[in-house]
Amino acid sequence: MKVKSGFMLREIAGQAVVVPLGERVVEFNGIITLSESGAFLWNKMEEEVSENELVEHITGEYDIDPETARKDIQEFIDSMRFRDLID
Amino acid sequence: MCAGWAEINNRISINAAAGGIPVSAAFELTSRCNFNCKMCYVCHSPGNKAAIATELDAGEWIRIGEQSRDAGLFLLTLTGGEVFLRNDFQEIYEAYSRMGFNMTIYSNASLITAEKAKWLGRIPPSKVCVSIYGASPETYEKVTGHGEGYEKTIRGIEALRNENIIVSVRTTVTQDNFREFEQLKALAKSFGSGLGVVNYVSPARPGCGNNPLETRLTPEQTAQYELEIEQQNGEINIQVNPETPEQGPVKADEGRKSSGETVKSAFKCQAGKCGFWINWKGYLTPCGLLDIPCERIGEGGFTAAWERLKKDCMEVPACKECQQCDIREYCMSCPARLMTETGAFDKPAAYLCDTAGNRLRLKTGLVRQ
Repeated sequence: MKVKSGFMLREIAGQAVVVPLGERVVEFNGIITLSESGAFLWNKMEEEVSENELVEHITGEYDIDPETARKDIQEFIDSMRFRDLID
Repeated sequence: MCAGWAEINNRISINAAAGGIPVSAAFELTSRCNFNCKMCYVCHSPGNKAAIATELDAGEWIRIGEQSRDAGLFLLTLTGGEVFLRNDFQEIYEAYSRMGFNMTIYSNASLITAEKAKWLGRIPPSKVCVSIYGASPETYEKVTGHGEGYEKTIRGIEALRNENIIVSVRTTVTQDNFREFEQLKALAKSFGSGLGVVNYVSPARPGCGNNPLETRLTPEQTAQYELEIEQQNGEINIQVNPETPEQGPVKADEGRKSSGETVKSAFKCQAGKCGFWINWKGYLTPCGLLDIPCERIGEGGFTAAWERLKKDCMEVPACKECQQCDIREYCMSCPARLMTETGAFDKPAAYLCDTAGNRLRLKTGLVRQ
């Protein structure tokens, strides 16, 4: 899975923000704020990645057990799917 | 994941002001306008060759956009003059739309055709703020010198709305239109918009032929007008003196002078802390009212100019009399307004003092000694 093209992850004064670019504004006229770990996942999802790989990435970066990480990642992905942000 | 816009904006502006990050700006792409408003502080005619010669070209604006974005810019207002007068506005805007800004366009809407609105609707800004100068061709003729501008403006707004572009209506109050508040309010409502009311008209910038002082409301009229519209707020959202991003309030007001000394800024807004203005010649200033302090962006690039401007702003002296004034809560005094009114940052301005005195009288019945 991969985040849709046409979005930019930016850090605005310490806040991670995803902004739609160009034509994407028509379908998503707003911004998305992300936590630090959300921004980390978004970054990884700019390239094709599986859920298992995301679990590996995040357990490698943060002090979190795989089970909790998977649950958090699934919630994050569900939230992204709900907003139609994933290809 | 999705916080409210006001909450995000607040969080960003607090962090940005504390860190001196330039998150808010207005780019004044041109000084030229197809209207000739009596109260305008920046108005060159559409074909003014001298003005055109001083304008940055599209490539320069795009480069400044990239550099500002890399320095942290997020909330960007594109303004003029009238931005749709620029033949290369589309090129500039399309480039900005891919840079990750949250953009607002200020326009009089009279040059927005169905075709232009269709183009903009494919890559819309967060909103277009349209200035309406009256509720009839007759008033437009008096205020802008272009009676036909009224119908063109209405058509422009309708074209934007047909493309689902959010339109926010505002007006500048003058002697020629202040009696039309009811009609302006009805117009704004018909466009699904609130109404922003700018009731402070500043003296002209040097080099502009107009004399705004002849047309602005007197202090008594300003206070009375505010009271009247305040009583009518509710039917639609009415905002008096809505801010451009760099004018928004901030909580952090400390910074460092060139000497390294930490001092309180004379500016109570974002100007020079996390907000800025760039005029059509490419000069960086704290806000649209001020020509000084100013820094040329030039070869050194945006970030170097921004760092200099922040220090310049900390050198701006506060007006001690204003700070100690017992009716300051009724006053719209700020360094920029004091400078445009009196030629000094730290000298009280009679117009602002009188307006504050009138607000006090109307709201409390007290008369200032």
